[in-house]
Amino acid sequence: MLLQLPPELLILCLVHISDQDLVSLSHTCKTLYFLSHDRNLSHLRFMVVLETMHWRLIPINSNISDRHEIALTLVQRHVIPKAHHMFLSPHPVQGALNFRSLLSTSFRKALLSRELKNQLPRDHLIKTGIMKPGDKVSAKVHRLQFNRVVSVINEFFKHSFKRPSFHTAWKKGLLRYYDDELNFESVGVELLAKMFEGCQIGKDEEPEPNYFKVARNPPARAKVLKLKRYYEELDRTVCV
Amino acid sequence: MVTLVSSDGVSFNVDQKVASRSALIKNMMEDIGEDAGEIPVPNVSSNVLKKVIEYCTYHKDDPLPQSGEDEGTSAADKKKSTVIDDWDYNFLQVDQEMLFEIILTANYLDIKPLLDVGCKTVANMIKGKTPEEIRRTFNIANDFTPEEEAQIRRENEWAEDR
Repeated sequence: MLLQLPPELLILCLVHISDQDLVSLSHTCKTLYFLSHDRNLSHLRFMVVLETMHWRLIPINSNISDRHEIALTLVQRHVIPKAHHMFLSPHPVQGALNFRSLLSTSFRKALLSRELKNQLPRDHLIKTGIMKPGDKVSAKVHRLQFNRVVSVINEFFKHSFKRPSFHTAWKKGLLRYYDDELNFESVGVELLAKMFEGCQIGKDEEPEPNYFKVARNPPARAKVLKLKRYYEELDRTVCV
Repeated sequence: MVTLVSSDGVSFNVDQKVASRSALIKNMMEDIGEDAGEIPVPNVSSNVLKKVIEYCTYHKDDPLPQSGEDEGTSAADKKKSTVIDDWDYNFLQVDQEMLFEIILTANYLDIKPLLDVGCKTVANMIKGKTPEEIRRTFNIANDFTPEEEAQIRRENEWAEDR
């Protein structure tokens, strides 16, 4: 009887269930197996995760308009074509929301300038050459961290639709990442990259020590460079 | 008042405010004007339309979702993504066929809060069940071969240690 619902409505139901339930569902029949691997469903479910992260990250006393802006935008998660373009398309459709732009704008306003200012590991940034001693923590530094996280998230999408378990591990990792309140500091970015590798290559294999090491493989590197060029292009249009 | 006519020819006189819970009917009324008269709802049978009107009547004073907006934008709402209001929960204690018809109608008539609560009800019916229990609940035939089942189990093995 469940199968009398068209896939687009079934997907809306499956947005609300846990990964474990999704795995159980995928064992029931072929139709639900394929549906549970649907990329639109993965997008929507991941948006819910992002949404949860936002609500946890944005401090209660932050600017009401920031929260409002994010709320208004993220609740549109049920609009599947928009979700697709927000996350995957390098050419967002006219009028569609640019999720990355939204994130960078919102984080800049709600987080980077308030929360992270005192949390960034200055020593680490100085050691890695991003900052010099005495430098003030600038929005640009924060944005570097942020851009790396976004690039990892985008790469995740390219690899995550084969098995629901990828999504599970990723989500678990991300939530733990935020539970630890690492936010977007450099150490956290490395951790995020490692989690991505774990998701990508599976439980039984040793993860690569560094995400960007994976990218030395020529085809993967070409992808990363393409993504980098796209971000650089996008950065020219996104406010800093 | 506006008259909605179901697929089996039954007429329902409904307050315009109630009918406006459906974005589809609201747009139709705006296009036709005050003298909307009878509005056919060809894809919906009278028993389903009656239930949907009951929902719309109860929720007639709720704020309408804005264009492109979903209900429940507060942080608390986000955390309780499958929590259903008591009245809605009781309203949706119907047999599966009716539940799915309500979801299809909510989608057709563009009643977002009803669609959302319907989907959450289905999600709650799936939660915590084994594949066999899900099959029994929804009368789903297992069309996997034993080899395919083994393959899927292997695929998901490493997610099961949570």
